Parts: sequence; C-alpha cells; structure tokens
Amino acid sequence: MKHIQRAVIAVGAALLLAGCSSAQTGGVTGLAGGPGSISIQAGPDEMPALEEIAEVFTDETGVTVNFIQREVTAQTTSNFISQAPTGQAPDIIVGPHDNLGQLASNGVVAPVELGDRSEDFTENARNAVMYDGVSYGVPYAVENVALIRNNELTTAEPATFDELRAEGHRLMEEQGIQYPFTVSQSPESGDPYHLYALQTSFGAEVFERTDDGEYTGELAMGGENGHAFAQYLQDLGQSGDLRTSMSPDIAKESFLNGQSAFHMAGPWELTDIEAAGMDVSVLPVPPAGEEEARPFVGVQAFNVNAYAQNPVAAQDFATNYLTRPEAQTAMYEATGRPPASTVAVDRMQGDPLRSAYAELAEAGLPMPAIPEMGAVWNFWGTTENAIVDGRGDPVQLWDRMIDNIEGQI
Amino acid sequence: MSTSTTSRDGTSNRGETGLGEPLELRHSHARGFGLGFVVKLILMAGINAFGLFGILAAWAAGSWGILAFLVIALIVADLVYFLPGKRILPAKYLFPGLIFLLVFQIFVLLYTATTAFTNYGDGHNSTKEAAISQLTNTYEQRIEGSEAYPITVLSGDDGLALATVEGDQVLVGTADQALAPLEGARASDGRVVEAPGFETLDYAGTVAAATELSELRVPVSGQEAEGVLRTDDGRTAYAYDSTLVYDENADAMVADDGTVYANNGEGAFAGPDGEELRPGWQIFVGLDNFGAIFDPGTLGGPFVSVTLWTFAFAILSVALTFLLGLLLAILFNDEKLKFRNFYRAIIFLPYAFPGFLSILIWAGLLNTDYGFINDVLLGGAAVPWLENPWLARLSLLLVNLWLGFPYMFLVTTGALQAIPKEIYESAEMDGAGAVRKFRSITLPLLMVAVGPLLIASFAMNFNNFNVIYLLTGGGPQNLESTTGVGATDILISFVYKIAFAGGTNDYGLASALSILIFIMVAVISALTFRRSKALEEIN
Repeated sequence: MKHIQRAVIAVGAALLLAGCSSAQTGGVTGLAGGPGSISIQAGPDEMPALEEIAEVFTDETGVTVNFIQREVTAQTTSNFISQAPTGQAPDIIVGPHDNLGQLASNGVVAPVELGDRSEDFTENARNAVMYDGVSYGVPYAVENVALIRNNELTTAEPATFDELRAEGHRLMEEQGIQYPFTVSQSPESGDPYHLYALQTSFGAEVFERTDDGEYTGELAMGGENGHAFAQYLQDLGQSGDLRTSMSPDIAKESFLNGQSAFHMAGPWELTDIEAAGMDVSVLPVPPAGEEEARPFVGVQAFNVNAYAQNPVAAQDFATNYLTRPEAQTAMYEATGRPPASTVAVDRMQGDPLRSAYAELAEAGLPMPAIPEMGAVWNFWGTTENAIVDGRGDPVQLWDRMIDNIEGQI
Repeated sequence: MSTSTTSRDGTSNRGETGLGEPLELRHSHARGFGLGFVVKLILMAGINAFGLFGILAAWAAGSWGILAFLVIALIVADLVYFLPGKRILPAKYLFPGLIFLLVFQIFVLLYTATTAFTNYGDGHNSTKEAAISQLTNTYEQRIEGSEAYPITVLSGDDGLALATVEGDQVLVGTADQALAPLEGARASDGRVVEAPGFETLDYAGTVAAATELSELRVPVSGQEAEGVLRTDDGRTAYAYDSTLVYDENADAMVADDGTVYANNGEGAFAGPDGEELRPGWQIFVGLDNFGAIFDPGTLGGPFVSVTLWTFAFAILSVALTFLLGLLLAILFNDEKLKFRNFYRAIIFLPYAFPGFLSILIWAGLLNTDYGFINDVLLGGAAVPWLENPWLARLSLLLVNLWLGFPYMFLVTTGALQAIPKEIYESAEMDGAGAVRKFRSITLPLLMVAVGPLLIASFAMNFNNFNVIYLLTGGGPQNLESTTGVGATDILISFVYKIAFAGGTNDYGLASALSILIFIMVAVISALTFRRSKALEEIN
C-alpha cells in the first residue's frame, strides 16, 4: 500500500511539474492570435540587409521575422523540395533563379504577382523569375561572368580570345607570370558555366529559345557550332592554356598573386580583389568564335513557399517590402552583388566595377530555369573536361554528350 | 576471476557466501524518501514535462501517430520507474535503450522500407490534394492589362469578402456576389474602414484567415471574361482567369481549351499526348523501384559494376589496413626496440587527425597539375591520380589505407600483448621457427580478438561515404553511362547521387537501393560472425 501511495504522489508531482513547464513553452505560433511570424532562409552576406528590411516590416505589421542562415546550394534546394510539403521549410528562400524550374515543377513555390512594381526591375531580372508564364519571385541581384583585367600587368583590350591568349603568353615570357588567363574549373565535374561565353561565341547556345526569349527543352548546342566549340576546347587543353585541375581557389589565388593578367569570373570575386587592393578593370569576355560572347546571367531571387505556414504575411513581405527601392539598395550595399532593381542600379554609379558588370549583364543570356537543365549540367561538365584533358576525339565526345542528354530528357 | 573461484568452492551455498545477504539488506537509493528518490523524481518530472510538451505539440500539428507513440511511451516510462517490485527491475535498464532503438533504428528502417515502394522524388513530393491545388493556382493567369485592386479584407456572415475603393464608391464582393457598390460603407486613405453587414479585418485578422483567403475568388463582374479577384498578400488583388480546373467525377484536370489531363495511375495527370502536368503526387508503385535496379536497360549495368567495386573496395580496404597495421604492430612489439612508444605515437597520428581534413588535404595533394605529389615529388609529372578510373581507385585505396591502418595497428598491438608469452616459449622448445609461431599461434589467437573488429570495419567501409565523396566524388564519371555513375562510386555514394545530387531526385529508388545495401551488409555480417564464433569455440 505504502509503495502505491508513494507512486501516486510521485506521478502527481511529476504531472504538476510537467504542467508548469509546458504552459510556458506551449504557446506555439499561430495559437496565440497575433499576426505570428515568418521565417526566411538566406546566406550570411544577405542577412544584414534583410534584418533591416524585416525591422520595418515588423514595425508596420507586428509580424516577427525569423532568420535561418544557410548558404543556398543544390542540397538546400533538394531539402526545400522535400521539406516544404511537410510544413517544415522556411516561408521565404533566397536562391539563384536557375533552380526555379525544379522548384515550380515540384509545386513548392507560390506565384508572386508583382503588379506594377515589376517595372522597377531590369528586363533580365524580370524574365528570370518567370517560369511558364507565371512570375515566381522577387529578384535582387544579377550576376554574370566577365573578364577582370589586372591593370598593373597590361592595359590591352583583346578583341578576340586568341588575342587574349597571345597577350597572356607575351606576359608569361616577358614578365614571368604563370598563366595566360585564369578561369575556375573543377577536375571532377567541369565548369561549363564559366566557359559559356566562349561557347556562345560559336553560336552554340544550350537550348533553343522562343521569340520571347523563353527556353524550350530543345537542345541547340549540337551540330557544327557545337563541334567548332569542342575543337576550340581541345586546342585550349592541348596548349595547356586551360586546365581542368584549376579549381576556383587556385584560379582566384593565382590572379590575386599577379600570376595571371586576365581572370574570367563573376562579381562575387570582386570583394576579395578589392580587399587585395588591386587595380583592375571589368571587360567583356572576348569572343573565340565569330559571334558575340554572351555569358550566362544568373539572378538571385526571393521565392515564397507554396506551403508557407503564414502565407499572407510571407507574400506581403515579398511583394510589398522586398520590392521597395530602399530594400533593394540595402541588399546591394550588404552583398556587393550588382542589383536587379533599376533604382539600385542608378545608385551604383560610384562603383565602376559593378556598374560594368551590370552593363555587361544586358548582353548576357539568362540561365535556363527549365528542369531539363538538371540533366544537362552533369554531362556537359564531364564532357568538357574529357575534351580539355584530351581523352578522345572532341567531336565524338560532344556528339555522345548530346545523345546522353537527349536520352535523359 | 572471482565468480569462478566461488563456484569452484563446492561446499559453499548462496546464503553463506556473503553474496546473497547484502543484496537483501541493500536499499535501492531510488526508494524511500532519500536523496536518490528526490533525484529520480526530478528526472522523471523532466521526462514527463518533455513528453507532455511533445504530446501537446503533436496534438496541435495533428500528427496522430507521434501522439499515440508519445502517450504510450510516457505511460510505460512512469509505470516502469514508479511501480514497485523486483520483477520490473530489468525493464528499468532496458527501457531507455528500447525507446532509442525504436526511434533511431526501427522507425528509420520501416520508413525507408515504405519509401522504397513509392515514387517519392522530384515531381512526386506531396499529396494529390496539394498537387491539384498547386496546379489550379499556377494555371490561374492574370488577365492581361487588367488593373490592380487595392483591397481590404472583410468578414461577413457568408465568409470573407473583398472591398475596394473606386472613385468615391466602395465596392464589396464575396465568393457568390460580384463586386458591387455597398451603401453606407466608408473609406479613408484608400482603405475601407466601415462596411455595414461586414467586419473589417485588421492585419492580424487577415493573416489569421490565410487559408480561407487563399480559396476566396471574387468575380469582378457578372461577365466571366473579366475574371475573378484573388489576393495573395491581403493588400492588393488582381483579376485572374483560371485555365485549368479539376473535374472530380472524371478525376482529371481540364484546361480551358478542352484538353483533358487524366490521372495516368502513375501519380500524375497526363494529357492525350502523354505529357505530364507537374507537380504530380506520391503513390505506391509496388516493386517498380527494385525492378529498375535490376533492369539492364535502366540501372542494371551500373548497379552490377558499382556492387562489384563496393565489395572490392571494402575487402581490400580491410585487408590492406589490417596487414599494414599487423606488420607494424609486430615490428613495434619487439621489446628490444628503443623509444617504441614514441614510434607508436607517431604511427597513430593519421588516426588522430580528423578524417574530413585529411581526405580534403589528400585530394589537394593528388591534384594533377598543382598537387604536391605530381608537382614536387614526381618533378612535374602529370599523373592523373583522380582522373583515370584505375588510378582513382588506387588513390582511393591508398588514402583509405593511410586513414585506417593506425586503428588496425592499435587493436592488433593490444591483441598481441594479450597473447601469453608461455605459449611462445613452449613452441620454441618444440622447435618452432618464427614463421611457424606466427602461423600457428599469433594469427589464430589474434583473429579471435580482432575478427569481429574486421567485420565491423568491413561493414563500415562498405558504407564509407566520406572518403568517396570528399576524395573523388565518385568520379571520374563514366561518359557512356546516362546515370552519372563514376568509377569510384560505391553503393552508398550511388544512392546519394540518385537521392540528392543529380538533376532529379528519386527518393523511392534510393530507398530501394538502401534496402539492398542493408540486406547485403546484414547477410555478410551474420555469416562472418558465425564463422568467427566457430573460431572461438576451437580455442
């Protein structure tokens, strides 16, 4: 009997304690009545500006904003797709627009109607957040590959890529630098993104485009134009000018150390270049073929979760707060990425390097956001690597790549 | 050993050995109202609080499975720790382990097994209802050139309504009633502040009505062509025209041009030309995933080659690390060697560095053009260590050898020292040489001790994702294959590529492969454990 009494007292006491503790933490969001909260996932460089914008939002609406600081990668996109339907994903995520097709075809992002505010964005940025005729996000930055020149080594403005190589070789002989040019590559998976401007100069765009500029799932990089590019790649590899083993770190370090006069890179490398106190200019990538060299343009955009826990507040934040000129300017100032908003572009005049990038972006081609692109990257990169490394006949390798990609699409 | 000495003493019985009596006298600290009981009470209070919080949260989220599990687990926990009686004593020790087993092993296993029979993956990541609502939503096109309506959300008897200001008029519309002027309504600053028969919702009210608001469509006018108003942000509404509707009777999506997208039974709506609308939804597909793995047309080829390499990699990794570790252990076991503890410490170093770090450093060292090995050691040779399939496999084995041999060195050193010296002495007297001693004494006795560790090491290397992912990423990729499989991919990195890394994620297929891996490792471990047990009995 005594045992049982004790047990009863114990259980009672335990329940009492449990009651106390759960009363404090039990107020899960949404139950309490107020406007609740939204959560945003973004990278560390975007945080300061977002916090600023969120403060205004919270003041005006009472909605609290929680931040999840995480770099957006292919992995986070995968996670978002699997987590969104369970209600565990953030309400708003930042990411490059080429994920959009994958996100939209999985139904995890909600349409975002910008209304008249879409006029505030550059054409590239506006088109990049469209998928299948529906607008899905708020763009904030436009990025592309350009040629960064070390002005201390040379002031040449090569008109063709062969001129660039010749100038590079001259500098190698006269000044003892190590490389004719640097560009980031990957020994495992290749890097077609950084070489795309060269590819388009042969007229070998990755997909056919409609008259409106929207990509179709039809491959366009096969045929003679593609072969010409493949042969040029082989030449780059054979001459040792381009090496697949030049990882992003090696490429950047070599340029920073003055071992290369020309660096093909995106605006995100400007921060380190400026920190090193280098005197550089931003130029277009010179064409290797007959046509204009048009790099890929990537747009960073905010997307709203289709399964958002607090959808109205999330849409409100995206369409009415993130689109504001002061918000866009804050994003530019915090991240140093060339802005997508025309207002912020106008405010960028004191920054010649990023202005040059923004100007060059207009000649670029948006990265395809269609899901077919997922099948392309892998084969594209490994085939380019095989050609550069001289592991077979370039034309045959290129044709096999086209077959493989078409097979998977 | 104390137990064997007492049992050998034939005259003693339990009551007098002094082992039984203290047991009777000893009090459990957790009984009575001593300090032990208080500690137990506090701990259990914590567990109950945590459990109740979980139950409430599961209730709020509507996760009934988790709710039931928590309720049962909590009741059982309280019963186990508060019920008196000796018979329940073992349960007190087993309970936490069992709970962890259920949560971290059994549940994961069952979940993976269920997923293996579904088409869960890209394009099929949610339920049918979610897919339908998402499709309807995306295929609602804003009517070109239509204006934006700044709106106020109202709440009336028949649900939500939208109000907008046009000139000096206030227009109000509901789901059944097109926008029309409302008498007596008042607006200020473009916002409707008063509407007879309705309650204006403030920001918090609008946000809270999100679900209802997302379903609200207000006709702009009596004419269908002018579309319906929908608002996403509670501030502005636009006129939309829906171009795709779900027909419940036909179980199909019907487009405004008359195209019927019927449920194709594979978790998607497909048009007459077979074109699927995305997203689709999750369904059970039976053995399809396993079929794809063994079908030579899809994954069959890569699956066989990857499986062979996985076995080769796991077996060679264990064999090489064990042989090198054993060799070094024997060398440094010689007592005549000076400073041998110092040498042992040095040998142990690779094991002391974090593996992630060493692997990444090795990847850098092996870089074809810039790596230390080619650049400095080989004087600028361009040996494609990680680019050539066979060299990549060799590099992988060597790096894994570097990472793994210190462990083998450690365990074999321990095992060697445990072999009694007398056995060697008597063997020497019988005229046995060094080789004979090693073969007949050292190796068999060693295997008893390290045999299970070798099996564990095999199982670990069979799923050694880190070294593959960080060193070669599974590459170099096979250019002829459409699966993206590389020469050094083992099963687990292959699963990763299918589930997460490729352009399209297929969790169902990856789960099916995981199940196969589980079966392989389980069967091999069971077989070898049985063999090593036999070895033990001989000795």
